[in-house]
Amino acid sequence: MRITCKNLLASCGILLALGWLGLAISGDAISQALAARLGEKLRAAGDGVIADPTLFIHARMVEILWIATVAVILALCLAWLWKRIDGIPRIQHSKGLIMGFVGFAAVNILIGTCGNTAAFWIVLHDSQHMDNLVRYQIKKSLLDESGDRRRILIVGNSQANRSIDETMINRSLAQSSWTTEMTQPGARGFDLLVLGRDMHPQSGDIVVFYLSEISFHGMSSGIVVADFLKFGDFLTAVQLDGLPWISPGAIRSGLSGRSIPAYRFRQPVTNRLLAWQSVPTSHDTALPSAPPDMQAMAKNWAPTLRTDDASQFERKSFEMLINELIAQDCEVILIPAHLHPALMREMDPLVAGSFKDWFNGLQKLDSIRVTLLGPESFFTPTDEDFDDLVHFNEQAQKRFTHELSGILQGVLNDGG
Amino acid sequence: MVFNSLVFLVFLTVVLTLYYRLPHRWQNRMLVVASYFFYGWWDWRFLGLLLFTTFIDYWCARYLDQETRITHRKCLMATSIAVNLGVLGFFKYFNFFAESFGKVLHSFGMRADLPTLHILLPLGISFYTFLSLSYTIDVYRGKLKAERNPVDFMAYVSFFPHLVAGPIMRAQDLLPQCKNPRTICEAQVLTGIWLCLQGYFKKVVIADRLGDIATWGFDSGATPFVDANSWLLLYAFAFQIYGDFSGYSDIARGLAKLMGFELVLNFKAPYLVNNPAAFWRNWHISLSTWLRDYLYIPLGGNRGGSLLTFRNLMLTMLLGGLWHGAGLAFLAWGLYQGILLVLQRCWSAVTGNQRQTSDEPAQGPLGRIGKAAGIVIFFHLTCLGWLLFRAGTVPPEFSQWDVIRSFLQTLWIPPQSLSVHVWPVALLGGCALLLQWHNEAADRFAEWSPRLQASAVALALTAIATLGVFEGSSFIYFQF
Repeated sequence: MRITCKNLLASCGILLALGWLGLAISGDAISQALAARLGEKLRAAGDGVIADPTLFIHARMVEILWIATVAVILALCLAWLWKRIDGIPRIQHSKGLIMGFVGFAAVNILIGTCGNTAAFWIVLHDSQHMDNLVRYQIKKSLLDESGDRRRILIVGNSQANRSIDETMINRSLAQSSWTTEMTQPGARGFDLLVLGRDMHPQSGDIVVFYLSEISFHGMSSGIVVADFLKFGDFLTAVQLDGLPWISPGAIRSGLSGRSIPAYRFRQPVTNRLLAWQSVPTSHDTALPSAPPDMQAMAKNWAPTLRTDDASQFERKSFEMLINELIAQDCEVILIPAHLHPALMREMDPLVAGSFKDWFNGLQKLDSIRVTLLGPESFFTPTDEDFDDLVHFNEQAQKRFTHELSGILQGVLNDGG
Repeated sequence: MVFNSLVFLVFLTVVLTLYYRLPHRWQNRMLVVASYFFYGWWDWRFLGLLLFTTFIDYWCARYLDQETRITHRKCLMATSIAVNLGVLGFFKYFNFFAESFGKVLHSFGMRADLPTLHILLPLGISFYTFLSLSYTIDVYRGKLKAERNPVDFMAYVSFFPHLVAGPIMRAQDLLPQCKNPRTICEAQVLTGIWLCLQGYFKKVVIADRLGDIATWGFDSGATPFVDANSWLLLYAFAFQIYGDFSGYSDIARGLAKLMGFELVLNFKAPYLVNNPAAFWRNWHISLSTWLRDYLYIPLGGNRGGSLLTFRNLMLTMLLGGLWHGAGLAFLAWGLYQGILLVLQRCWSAVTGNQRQTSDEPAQGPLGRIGKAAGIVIFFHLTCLGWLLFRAGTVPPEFSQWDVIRSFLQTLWIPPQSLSVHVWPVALLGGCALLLQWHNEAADRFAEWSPRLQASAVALALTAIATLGVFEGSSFIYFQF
């Protein structure tokens, strides 16, 4: 049989059909058998993100078949268009160029499809180097694989990441819940709204926010907007008069990324293809370490934490997120995050007081669904508990997580 | 506005939309306005300078056409040269010569606080002054008639695709295209679009990715490596400058084709040659031919015996180096290139061979191996030259000579292991070499099979979207 496009596509179609049939008939059995052999290795390799190896394997098989199906459908469409253009004399001579652009569009559709699967992100994952986007996407794709357990989503920025150990929570609460930490560095009010919408929380989810003044005052990093912004989020920013506080470059990057998935995922692809994360492209100019002078650093940083139009925009965005979560029948837990005592001493008391009043007042949005865990619920950290002005050290993280686990267990027991 | 920016895409869309709707004469007027707008976007203050040099050369050429008295013709020619080189010298070289002169006086024990000026370098000044100067020289030599239509002449000088970084077009090539109505065929549009895509790929993928590595390697005062891994940084810069400059030329040629213009090929396969003369027939061809026709040959070329030929080669390459930048490192690079050319001449004289060029096919397997070895060796000699060139642009807080010294000390030390940079440099450098190997294919894009066209376009777009650097990088040759 000659190898032609038509034959190749037909063969792929047949193989796919067989694949789907096989999955329907014996997918569960194959998943269980593989999970029995590889389950522990998977859990170890997954670094705490794999809730159920059987579900994980089954879902990956579905994803691979789905990606292959989309690829074949796109190839069929391209083949049809290829033939169709021959019948249009005006553009016949530009067929190659036109099909090149159409092919690029098809590649983006395929990449966009892949972007919704954990399989794609696992291929891009580099265990030697952390990529926040890859890690987030893997976790997001795995959110639905926690079985019947209630989902706990920890949302925030690096403060939440360094204060709460999801693996530790899962070890203690694994029977009744599955906890996933969905943080992005530098995330602030509007960023959290963008992330919250991207995550698609479901009814019954418990969403935990661990946030401090730095999430609502001072300058934004723009990372979240650059990677996650959707057109609807952009309109929300316009509606909330937030455009002056968002970097135009980040907006361009975000919206371009939503239009061109290949562009949106360029950093992980570059990291994988060119081993770019391994390649140093900047020099560490920090002086060899003297212990950092926290007081001096706090003195420099605190004045930038102001209550102004930017902070109002961040607060309004976050309130919008809380309201959307309430509307989706999620349970919200708010925890005011801890800051280094040096930073608290240098911070304008009006800023700290205003934040406290506002954050505590969020409970009024829905007194049933929104719970505030005030400082009295946790230990009071001292200077020795921090690595820097905003992040706990490992011991403090363990202690805080242990206390939070206990509280979450109570919430789960109450909720059923 | 750089070619790889959103604002340029908007600009281009507007320009092309108007261009395709306008009759010929209005096209030229629109091109002049658009080109001045393009140039003014960088810095409107230098529009006057562009207009001034254009004006001077237009009128010098007009008078040259009418003038028959030799002394008057020489005066007109001297005026054009003085204005063009004076402007170039003032903006580009004033501080360099003032500081160099001061150092010379200081070395003789004399103190001289010569003033230096905070002068901004007008974008593209080295390119458009040479372009304009070649026009008046050709009119003086009687090679062409002076252009009478000022709009056509302004369009020739300021044509935005090549205004800021070449190719340096000769009047006899570009002026007729400005004067005569242009027909744009489908093949030109197809090839133009492909050249733009290829150029963008070379720039944002090859050049800018490797540029990050080169910047890391060069801009910290010394090479970060203690062994021959330093070669990776030289390779990175070699492919960066190739990707950057030939990418710009591709985009310029592609844009020109979209408007029915043909610009000269500026780069062929400079890293697949085995001798310096062949290198200069493949690298920045428009500059090397300009230097040959307006400097080397008027100096006497190779007509005055070996010593004079060597002198002419050295002078030409020294000035070529200086053209690139006002700095001793660029002079050193020019000197190095001159020495290579002289050595090649000596070698040919000693061996009695006709100059073997890499354009000629190698004979037999041994011949092919020898040619390949020659290419590899010459590539490394070229990279050593790039070391001097790149050292000329290290941050001012570092010593250029310290950077050069640190590299030269490490290049010969065998590495214990290969640096992590080897993979991206090999992959992207390999792409660059592949593009060089098939450099002529791009101009025949319209003749490719539709399947090949479609695959190439889709691959180029995907590579640009996934591997490209989009965070505000400019073109290296903008600083010249």
